[in-house]
Amino acid sequence: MRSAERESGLLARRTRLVFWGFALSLLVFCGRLYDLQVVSVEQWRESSQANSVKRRALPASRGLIRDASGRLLVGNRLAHDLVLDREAELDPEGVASFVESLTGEPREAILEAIRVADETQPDHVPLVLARDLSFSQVAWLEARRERAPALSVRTEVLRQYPNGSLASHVLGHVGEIDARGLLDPELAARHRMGDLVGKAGVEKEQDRWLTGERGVRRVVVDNVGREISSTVELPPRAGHDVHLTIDLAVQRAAEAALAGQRGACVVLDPRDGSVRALVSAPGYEPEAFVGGISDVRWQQLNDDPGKPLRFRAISEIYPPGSVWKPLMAAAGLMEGVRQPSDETTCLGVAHVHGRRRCWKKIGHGALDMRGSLINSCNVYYYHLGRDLGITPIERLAADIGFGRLAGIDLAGEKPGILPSDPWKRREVGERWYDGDTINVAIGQGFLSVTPLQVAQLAASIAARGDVHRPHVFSHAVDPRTGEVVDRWEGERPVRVPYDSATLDFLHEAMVATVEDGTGRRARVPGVTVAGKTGTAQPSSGDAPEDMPDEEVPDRYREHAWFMGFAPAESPELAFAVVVEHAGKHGGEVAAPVARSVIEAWARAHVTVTGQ
Amino acid sequence: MATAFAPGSSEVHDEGLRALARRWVRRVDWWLLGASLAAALLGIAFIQSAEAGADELARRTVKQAIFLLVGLGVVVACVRVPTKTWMKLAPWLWAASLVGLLAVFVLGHEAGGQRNWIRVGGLSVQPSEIAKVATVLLVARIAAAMPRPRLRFRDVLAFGFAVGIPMAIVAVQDEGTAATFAPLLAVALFASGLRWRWVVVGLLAAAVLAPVAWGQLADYQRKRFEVVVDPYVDASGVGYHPIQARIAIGSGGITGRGWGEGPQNRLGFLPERHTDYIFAVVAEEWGFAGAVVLLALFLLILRRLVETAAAAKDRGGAFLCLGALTFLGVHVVINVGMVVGLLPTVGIPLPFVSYGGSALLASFAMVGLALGVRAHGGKATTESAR
Repeated sequence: MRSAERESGLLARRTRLVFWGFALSLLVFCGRLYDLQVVSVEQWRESSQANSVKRRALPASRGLIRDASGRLLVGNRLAHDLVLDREAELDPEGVASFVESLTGEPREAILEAIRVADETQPDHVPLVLARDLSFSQVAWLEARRERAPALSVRTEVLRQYPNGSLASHVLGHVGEIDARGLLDPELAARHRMGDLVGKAGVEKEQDRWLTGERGVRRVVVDNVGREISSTVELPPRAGHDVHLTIDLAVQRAAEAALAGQRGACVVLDPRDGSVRALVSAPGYEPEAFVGGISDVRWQQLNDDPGKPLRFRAISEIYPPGSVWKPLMAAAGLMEGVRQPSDETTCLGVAHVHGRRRCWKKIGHGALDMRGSLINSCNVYYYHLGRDLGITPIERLAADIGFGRLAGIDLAGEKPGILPSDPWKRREVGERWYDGDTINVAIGQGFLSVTPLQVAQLAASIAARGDVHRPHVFSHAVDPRTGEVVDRWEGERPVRVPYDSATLDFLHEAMVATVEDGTGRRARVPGVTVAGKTGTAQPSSGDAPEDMPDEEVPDRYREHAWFMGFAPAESPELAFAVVVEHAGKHGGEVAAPVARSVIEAWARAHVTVTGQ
Repeated sequence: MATAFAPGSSEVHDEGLRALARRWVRRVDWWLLGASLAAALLGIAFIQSAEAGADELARRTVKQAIFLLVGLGVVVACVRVPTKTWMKLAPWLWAASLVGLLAVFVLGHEAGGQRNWIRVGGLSVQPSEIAKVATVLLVARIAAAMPRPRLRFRDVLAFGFAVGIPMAIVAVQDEGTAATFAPLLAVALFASGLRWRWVVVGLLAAAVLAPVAWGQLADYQRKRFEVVVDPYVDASGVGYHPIQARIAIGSGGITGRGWGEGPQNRLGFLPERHTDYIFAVVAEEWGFAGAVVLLALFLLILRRLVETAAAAKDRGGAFLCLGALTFLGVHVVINVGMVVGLLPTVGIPLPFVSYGGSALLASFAMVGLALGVRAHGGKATTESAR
């Protein structure tokens, strides 16, 4: 019995020991629980919040762009983007495969995008993997949430172009901001990686007004990132609407008239420099840039021989040809070298520092200055050029604005070339020859101008000497309140020192050019149109004389010009049209474009002006 | 001296049903049974919370409830069958459980990356749970057969094989579960009279071997230990479970977030929340108060087992209760220790509370056997106590 008692004593003791071992452990755990649940409860509550409460940006819609009458030029629409939360635990291979099945984008490209983002962007910035998902794609993704919890759909506001390619160069397009853009402190202040920013045209120049302020959304998510609930913490502020001076009807008419051709048309209001139409043909579809342009499409646009991305109206330079003649006439009159009644005889050929021809092979006969403009006789101007010398020509041209930027509020303007002796020595390495002057006299030679500059020339005559800075921006409006937050402030116009008599003469002669002269096809019933035609030899030179017309390669074909203003007695429009390599006279192909423009304007304004 | 009840016993006919009922009432440790039942009901409540909250009745809730009823049946069976019968059956049950363990390799199907389940007619059975119960029984039998309270070498061998073989088989696939067998061996040796010097030697040996063992560990196993110290070392991998558990527990505060309302639970951040981490759900939703109450329930269960062991009239019965105590105690300590972040992650369920039919039944079997010891007067063998 003793051993049994001892045994049961031992067993009982040790059993109790085991029990106390467990009990002690549980006590330690209670201490631990106390530490977690009583002492540090706040910290853990915060972590619980952090798990499930996320802040997501609410995109702001970009401001709209409207024409002078408030008609919509660029609008917005909603789109759904595929966004990767790089802070979440993720498996890049899995995500890339998943996205490939969703969008068709190759896995390697996606992996590359993730890698680049990881290297250049802080983790909290989400990566946009695809834009503008279709509704069925969004549904497909939502059904397979658990497979890629780091992916989510973000609603975005995209640009919409209700008028297709109308005014594409003026309006420009938007694109995702890149690392280089973020180097600009002004852009970096209002944009984040992945934001859409204006890349060209008004979208770029007025990006400051068009960009809104993004808001903040507070969401509760579950462990796969699915949104359980969401509240708006800070509502986004939409960008301001930008109103342009462009007149939609005039723009449309000009583009239609230039359809199928390459060239440009600039229509200004000579009273204040407002641009009513700015056409560069061919244009392009800005819609292609929405959601990011594909490499293929971008390559197509760049390779297109029509060069649709070139903003011909302000960036391309051409020899002005005969539209230069009114400037010559003004110089001749103001220098006292000619009177309006002085005649020159044109026999079709002249020997003025070289053997030169008039476009009319048999010649015009005796012409006074008025006649020289109406008929656009070259010989008259050969002689006038020789008598003037380059200096007064160059001086007047410089006053009007040739050889420098007109200062339009769009990027990409070129200053053209206004040649002179110093210029030639610098650029060509030779001194100025008299023959060069003769070339310039008929708007050829080293002289190169942009269509905008020619329109400025027309405006200078129309406004009797006042040249305003051209601009497309009119004013910016807060879309919620309608309050005008910014308006184009007119600067003091440049004064070209025309004298009154010269202006009277030019007005009359240019009206006559349209009435009876080479500009006949610009006539518009009910409106007095003043104009001048031009047919410019391209700098590539002439085709061989005996080559038949159809075989002449494009680059030898002449450019067709027309410039002018209307209505002549109180001009509201000043314009310049150029048709590149038209192979025809300005009067034939360029003047009708002006007619369309003026007709479109007249339809809207005739009642206002009461004419 | 009470004898085991047998159908047709004259005592039954003599004294009538009411007496029968009274005798039963006296013989059953209601505290033990009640606490186990309470824990199981709590488990069902929180499985429901983890599955669907207050929205709809979850499938798992229903399954667990059914297993609870079966579990009570198991208790009845364990109580009614005399303990000595269980002792006699021990080796056979043990051998059968080994077959079951081996069958897992052939028939087993995967769940959660581990193959330790067999499908039997639409139900998933975990043979390792049955093996635990059988091993406890066999250990008790071996202890009962010892002539003296002194540990002989053959006893050590017997214990070693009884525990070691199932442990080795389980260890092939599930090191965590295998680890729960080891304390059984240690306690068996200790309670059988292992001399303290051997205990010290054993601890020293463990201390010496530990670094060797550490080197043998696979990377992910090592990570599990590292993560105990600082889970943020591998926040999205091995550290994820401990971090989420801690967030769940800590954010429960004193009174909790409310049943069915815990964000860690409801929003799915807490993994394994209806199985291994269910304690964290209790802590999140019923707070410090609820967690301590649950721990108190377990403590009560363990205490009652100790009392039953003390009152047992012979070695076998006492060892059976000790075995049950060890089985439940080890599971509770490892599971809760893991959930609160003081022990490395191991896939051990919380007895009575975690979702899982096999584990629930095994827990009830353990309690049932202990209840049986008390009901039959602690007589585990036909031999009287020496």
